[in-house]
Amino acid sequence: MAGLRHEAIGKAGRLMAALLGGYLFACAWAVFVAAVLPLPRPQAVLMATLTGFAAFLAIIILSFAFGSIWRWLMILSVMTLALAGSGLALSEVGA
Amino acid sequence: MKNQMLDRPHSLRQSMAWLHTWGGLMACWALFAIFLTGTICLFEGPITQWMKPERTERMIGHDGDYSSGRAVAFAQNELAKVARGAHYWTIGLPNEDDPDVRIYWLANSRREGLRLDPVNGARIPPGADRRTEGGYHFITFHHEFHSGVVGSWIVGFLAMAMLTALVSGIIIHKRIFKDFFTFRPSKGQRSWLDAHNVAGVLTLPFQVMIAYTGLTLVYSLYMPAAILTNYPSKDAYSADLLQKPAHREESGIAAPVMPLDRLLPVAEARLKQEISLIHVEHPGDSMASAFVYGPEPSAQKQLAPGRGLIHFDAVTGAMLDVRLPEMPRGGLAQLTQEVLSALHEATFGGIIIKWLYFVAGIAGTVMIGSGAILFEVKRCQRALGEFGGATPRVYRLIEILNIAAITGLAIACIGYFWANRLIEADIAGRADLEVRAFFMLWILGLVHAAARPRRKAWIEQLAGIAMLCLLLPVLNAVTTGDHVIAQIGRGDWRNAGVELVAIAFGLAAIGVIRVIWPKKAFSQSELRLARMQAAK
Repeated sequence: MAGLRHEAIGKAGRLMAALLGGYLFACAWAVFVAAVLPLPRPQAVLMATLTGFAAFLAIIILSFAFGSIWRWLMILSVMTLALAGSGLALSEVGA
Repeated sequence: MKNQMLDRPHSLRQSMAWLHTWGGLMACWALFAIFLTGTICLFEGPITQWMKPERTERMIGHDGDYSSGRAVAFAQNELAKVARGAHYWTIGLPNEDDPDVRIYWLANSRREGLRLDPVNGARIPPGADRRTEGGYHFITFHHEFHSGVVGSWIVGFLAMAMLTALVSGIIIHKRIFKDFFTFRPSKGQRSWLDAHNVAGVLTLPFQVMIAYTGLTLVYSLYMPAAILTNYPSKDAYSADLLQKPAHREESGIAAPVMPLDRLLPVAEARLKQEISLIHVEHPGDSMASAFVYGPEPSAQKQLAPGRGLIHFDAVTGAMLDVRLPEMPRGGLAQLTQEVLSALHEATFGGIIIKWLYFVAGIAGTVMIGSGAILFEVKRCQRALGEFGGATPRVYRLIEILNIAAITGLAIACIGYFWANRLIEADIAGRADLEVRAFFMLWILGLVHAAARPRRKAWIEQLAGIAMLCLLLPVLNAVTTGDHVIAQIGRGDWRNAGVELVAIAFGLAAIGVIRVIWPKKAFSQSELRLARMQAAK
């Protein structure tokens, strides 16, 4: 029964990573891509946002495919923070 | 081993199977509703016309000589009388979906409207058409469940669930090409799996496209992050993207609006399109603007919609800004977004594309519905006990939800058409009553599914669908005197189409009844469930 509860927590963690983590990652992705795309600013923003949904989807799938949920949560947070940070810094420079 | 679905995933395929099964199950009931109503609202125009029979009579009656210039002059005359000092005026010209000139204005923060006869300019009394949401009900339901922004978010979430189910479904699929050609009817669980696979695999690119473009259609709602980190507001972003000229502030100096019909030949020559709409901002002020629009995207053939727009000074008639249809603003990115939107809404290629979308939409609906039933049938053959002692009750709940979501919703959809003819034409608030009838029927479907044994519930609800669909033309003939043969005779394929499609759905429902009529499949599974309950 303890194993079952452990598994349920694991699945809940994956669901959280997929939905919340995936959405935040997609936002960070859009901010970053908008900053680096060689297009006029409004067009770069639009293009980046259009690809954001694919990034979201990829994270949902990976959240359930990845072996260890805790390692995955670490990797996902680091990637999200890196993209958001560099994206924000770069768009400050651009503006 | 009993709880294998909850065990640690041993392989990619196993974890994807878990995601596909449970994610799919949680989303399938609402997704089925989104797909069915989305497929129906491809024909929003004809459905609205069918639901306003008085309008069809006006369309038949038209044989006077119509000119758009005169229609605009009538509209401006009327607006000058009833909407002096309004914040804006809008004039909509007759089109395929609407035989009248529509005028709207905003006065004291209230939007008002009137309809005019395009040939003689006479007012059409407000009660001339029965009040109804028409086909628009299916559109509102499809993209927000009649519940505003919250509904839009739920639909967006479900679109992501759909994409997830599609990708995980592809990963767990062992024989994707072989299944193109595999259908084994009357084999119980295998038949449902085959139906699920054939419908999904054959139309896979369409299903991926329709879910993804559904998200990009309202990208600024779902994912505003990049917009808001680069701009103070969404308006500032769209003004920058579309290179809109700065908003013209009111001067406070009175000046009459020029005769707007004079703008028509100028705009038509420049846009090389027919004009469909004129919008005047601050009429009566010296800084008034007139926005003259080309046809709606749905009336065009090419994929990139490109609605032409000319911004005039409404006092002098000077051209302030021209947006040519073949050169959309916002460059490649905006063009991409517009093409994705046109792909979702099928606003290109005319009637043939609409029918192709209709077929692919039905296939998507079948894929989702058969997936839901597959879960149920599979568990009936071999219960997996995922929910411990509560398993039989959870399975029964899933059964009930399947019936209510699939046949119950279908009854609500066709019942909505019945409500249109049965609710008195001049009763107050009848548009709301029709929508309420839709939801009441759906709830009734749920109650009925819960009250009856599984096989009887399916068959009775399917019989209800068949009856309501097949008798719809009769209902119309009895209540309005119009019927399919007369419609076809006068070339009115829009009204005839609605009734012929209803007949086709009715026959399909009878076909499904014939497939599931044999008691074998049902009795076996019900026996197992009963045994499980007894063993508990």
